Amino acid sequence: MRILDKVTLRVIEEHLFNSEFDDQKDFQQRLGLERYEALMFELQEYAVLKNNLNVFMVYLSKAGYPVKSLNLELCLVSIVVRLADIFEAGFKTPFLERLSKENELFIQCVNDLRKDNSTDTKQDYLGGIKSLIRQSMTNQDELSDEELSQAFLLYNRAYWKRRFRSIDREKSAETPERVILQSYNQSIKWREMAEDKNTVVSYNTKPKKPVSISKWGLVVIVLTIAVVVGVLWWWLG
Amino acid sequence: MDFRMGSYSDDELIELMKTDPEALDIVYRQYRDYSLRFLKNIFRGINHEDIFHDAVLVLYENVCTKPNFTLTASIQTYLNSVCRNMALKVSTSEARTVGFEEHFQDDIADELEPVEAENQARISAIVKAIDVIKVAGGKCYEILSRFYFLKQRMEQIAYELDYTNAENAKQQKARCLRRLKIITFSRLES
Repeated sequence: MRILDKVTLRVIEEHLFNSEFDDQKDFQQRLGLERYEALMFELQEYAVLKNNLNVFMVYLSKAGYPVKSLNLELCLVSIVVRLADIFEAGFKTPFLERLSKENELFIQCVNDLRKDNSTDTKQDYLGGIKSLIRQSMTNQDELSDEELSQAFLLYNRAYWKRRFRSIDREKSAETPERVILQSYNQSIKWREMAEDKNTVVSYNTKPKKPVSISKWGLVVIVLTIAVVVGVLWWWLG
Repeated sequence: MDFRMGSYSDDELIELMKTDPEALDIVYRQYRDYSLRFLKNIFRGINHEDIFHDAVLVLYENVCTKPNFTLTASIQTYLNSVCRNMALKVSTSEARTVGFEEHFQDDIADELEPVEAENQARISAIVKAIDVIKVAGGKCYEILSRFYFLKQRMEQIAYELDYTNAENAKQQKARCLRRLKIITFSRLES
């Protein structure tokens, strides 16, 4: 990995923490094309982290830095550079202390780095920070919109496939009588749904009314059969 | 030839799907038998039901999550076309295109989009947390599902779920999201 030079670091610091520049163009002019391009090249190393940048935005804003107006790449650099400088200065700045409070894993990693004497060069710092950031990613306390969208999509698919399989089982167990009953029940259900939604619905088939015989109807049928049997018995006898 | 089994027109069903997820049940029942007959007549040695499940989900996801999606054919023709494409992909035997030619369109190439999640453990923890929230009842599942899956705006969610305004719905969504996160991370840690 390339090492960010002092001038670049200072310009980034000014840009990020003193809000000296209004936009990326100003920043680029101040830095010069060559340094700017070198910086962007450096950023490619962090491409894997860009997807999770929202977490860093939260860290930064919790630490009190004005991050909303900055573009994402610069925010990422800001953290890396800021942390690099903090490490160089002996891990005593309020930023790191506040950052550490947010994440115990971060504290552990920082302490590990402190103990490691081989982290004297900027390159090692940056490598260590990158590793820190990666580790902090696995313990992040935010769910991204993309993760949530994917999870809801998968949940929805699994839910409906279960429902479809249930309908398949229901269909395979159908008898003609059950088909008529289901058709009737479904017509009622759809009509209720349509009424709820104020939707105009046209029905191809009218629901069939169930056939029922009243108590008096049954009495009349029994009496009729008795009379017919009596007349036949009298006539034949 | 009218092969629809149900009582709704295609346009009515499309509109219903956008507002009421339960409409998918009707779509499935209404178009299932014909599509399965269509598939069984053309393709052998594949799971026809699975193919049709995915085809209905393709229709549902397109209708609900893609604002510019318009159906250029009837729902039955669309489903048959998607089924045919999917079956062609998975079929091991040669397809016999006998009959039914008039009930699918060659130019429909839609299929179920794969989900390629970087962190499967997190995604599966969220999926389980969603189930917990849904089973628990209340409006949390509805709010989050409409926002993250159907991509509805807070104004629309507030209207559909009877909140007085979008701000109230937004506050409720934030509470639900916190709940979802707590359940997700408790599952990740366990």
